[in-house]
Amino acid sequence: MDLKPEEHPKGSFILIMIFFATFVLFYLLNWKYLSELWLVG
Amino acid sequence: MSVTSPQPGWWSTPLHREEKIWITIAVLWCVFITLAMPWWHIFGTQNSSQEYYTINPDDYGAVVDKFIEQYTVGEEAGIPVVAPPAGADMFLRAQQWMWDPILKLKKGESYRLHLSSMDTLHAMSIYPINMNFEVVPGWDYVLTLTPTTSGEFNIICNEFCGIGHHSMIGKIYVES
Amino acid sequence: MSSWNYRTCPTTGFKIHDKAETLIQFNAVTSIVFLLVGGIVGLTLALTRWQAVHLLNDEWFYRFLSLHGIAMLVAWIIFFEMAVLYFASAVILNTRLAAPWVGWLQYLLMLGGGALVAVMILTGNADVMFTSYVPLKAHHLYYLGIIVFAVGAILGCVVFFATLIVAKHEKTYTGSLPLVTFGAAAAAIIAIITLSCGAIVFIPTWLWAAGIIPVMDSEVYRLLFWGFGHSSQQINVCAMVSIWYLLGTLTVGAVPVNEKVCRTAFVLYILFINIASEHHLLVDPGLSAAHKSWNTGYFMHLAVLASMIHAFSVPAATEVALRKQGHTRGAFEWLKKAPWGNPAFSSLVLSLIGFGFLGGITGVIYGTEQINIIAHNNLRIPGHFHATVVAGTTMAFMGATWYVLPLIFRRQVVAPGLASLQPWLFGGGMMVFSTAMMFAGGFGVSRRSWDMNGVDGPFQVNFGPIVDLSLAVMGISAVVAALGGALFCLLAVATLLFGKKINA
Repeated sequence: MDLKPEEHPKGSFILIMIFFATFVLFYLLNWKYLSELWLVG
Repeated sequence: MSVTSPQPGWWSTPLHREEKIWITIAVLWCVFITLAMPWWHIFGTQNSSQEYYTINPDDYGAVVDKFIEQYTVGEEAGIPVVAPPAGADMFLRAQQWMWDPILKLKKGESYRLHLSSMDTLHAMSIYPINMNFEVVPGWDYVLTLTPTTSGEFNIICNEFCGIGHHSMIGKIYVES
Repeated sequence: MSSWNYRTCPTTGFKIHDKAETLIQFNAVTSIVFLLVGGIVGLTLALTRWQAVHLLNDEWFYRFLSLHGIAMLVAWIIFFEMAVLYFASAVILNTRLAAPWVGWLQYLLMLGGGALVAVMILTGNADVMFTSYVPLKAHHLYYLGIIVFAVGAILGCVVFFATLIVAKHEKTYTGSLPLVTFGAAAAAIIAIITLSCGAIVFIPTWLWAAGIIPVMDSEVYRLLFWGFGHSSQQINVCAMVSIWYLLGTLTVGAVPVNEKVCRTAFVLYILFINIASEHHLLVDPGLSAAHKSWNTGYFMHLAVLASMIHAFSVPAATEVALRKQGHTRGAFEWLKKAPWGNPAFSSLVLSLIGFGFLGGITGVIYGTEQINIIAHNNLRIPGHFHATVVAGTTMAFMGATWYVLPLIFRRQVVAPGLASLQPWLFGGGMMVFSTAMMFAGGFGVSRRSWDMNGVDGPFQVNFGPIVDLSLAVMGISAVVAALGGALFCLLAVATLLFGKKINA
């Protein structure tokens, strides 16, 4: 569909960016937790 | 509307700017998280082991008994305490509903830990560090393990194995 | 063309085949009965894991845990999905349901199988958990009950596809399938593959439990089971996402912003989730790291991409619809002015946050090959899936019910004020519940355990006050969520019995 400038989903874009930032943060944090474990392989 | 047929030509509708940006980010992220796993196998120090063998539970039981006989240094709560040398193969036995033997290890030394079950599925969760691996009857799972902290640790079974599941707790000592 | 009785819905204009409508009603009501049973049992479980209360004894904890898994993951959800399939085919396409007698066979087999499974569990013949990992053994009728249930579900999918063919042939719609029906078709395709995996794992297990063949290898069982087990969750994801688009349309008149994007994402689900069950086997012996990474990475993450796409498309469609209504000030006026009083709308939003934010992020993380070492089998896992299946899928299905009641059952929802409150109690409660579980799990508290301290064993473990607090939060939020669930069932039943009839 064609959207006028004021109809663009700006709010959803901000929300998904917040989602993405949280995702990246929590993901990297868990790798850090893993690295503090005993060595195993 | 989502409950009516889309407009003809929906396949050629161009994407909007926000969609294009988000899909690009999402694709790049998915590629990144996929590559992270092999990357950690090469550069990281905590990986799931790729060494495993099939084994009959009775044969495994015999190997564990021999290991206990060879390296026993004491006993606690009726379970033998065993101190294997660095680099040794050590064997942990899971069965309804106990772990044996109790292992006495040295911090910074590397060991080959064998895991198997005599009966049902169990899982080893080392408390309080929260390291978890599945323990499977018919399979000898070998982890190359190096404790990096010392103290008293417990092995909690965290795979449901029957009515005594919650009591199935073992012990590991790591000396500095 | 055979003659069939229908009515025209005054609100939507759909032509509704009376036989389709009856099947929708029976499956929907039955699903809510299982939801109620599973929910009551779930509350007792939470009040047991909250060790300060420790409600059940060990035997009944493990028994109710087995029942809770089956009642919720299998019975409640799949019965509701059968209703969704009949709706998405016969109602949305304005067509007659193909072979309604097969639909009735679907219903009776699922009801009979489900009842048999429940009886087996409650009589202590199947204390094996939803996963029934061999060599834990249940009475052979337990496995037979699951097989019969699965056959019924496959028949429901067959009726769905046959109805799509009838609609195409009798030209009851023009152009491409509507998005909700497309999504339901994706769910049904995954269902057929999933249930076939189920047959491959449950038939030999049934025969072993009946003493006819030897037991299969535990690791082989796990691989096959999760071929059924995880894929069945993807049926739920597809159905839930279809419902998201449906709710967007019904609550604010949302139109998918780009149909190509949405449909491609559904196709990604079909192609890549069926093979991606090895994230349950990441810390198991028997598979190489290359195999596990490839399965988790290439396959699973392409399905994750599909979810990330829908995570934007659904809110975007909602936002565009509200902006077109004139709410264009700033970035969020549309959100403030959205119909929050409509329980279907708040259910949609809560479901998006629960599934995507809480469940999705944690699922991808815990399912990463090496990170699984600190997640496997502790409370992080049920924390994750209560966010996806309960705060996500179940919340969305509840949201849809607020339209099913007036449009299919033709009864006005009683106590609309309480109905508006219900999603917040249930969804909010569940999100706190999930978070508390994941927090406790991070400290190593085990899942599926009656007593985390190891009370009867050779050694005891003490997790400390932070974990005790976290389990108390888990217990209390479970009570709130259970109130929300009970309120849902109460309002649904009260509406069916006492709601003002809407005459068409």
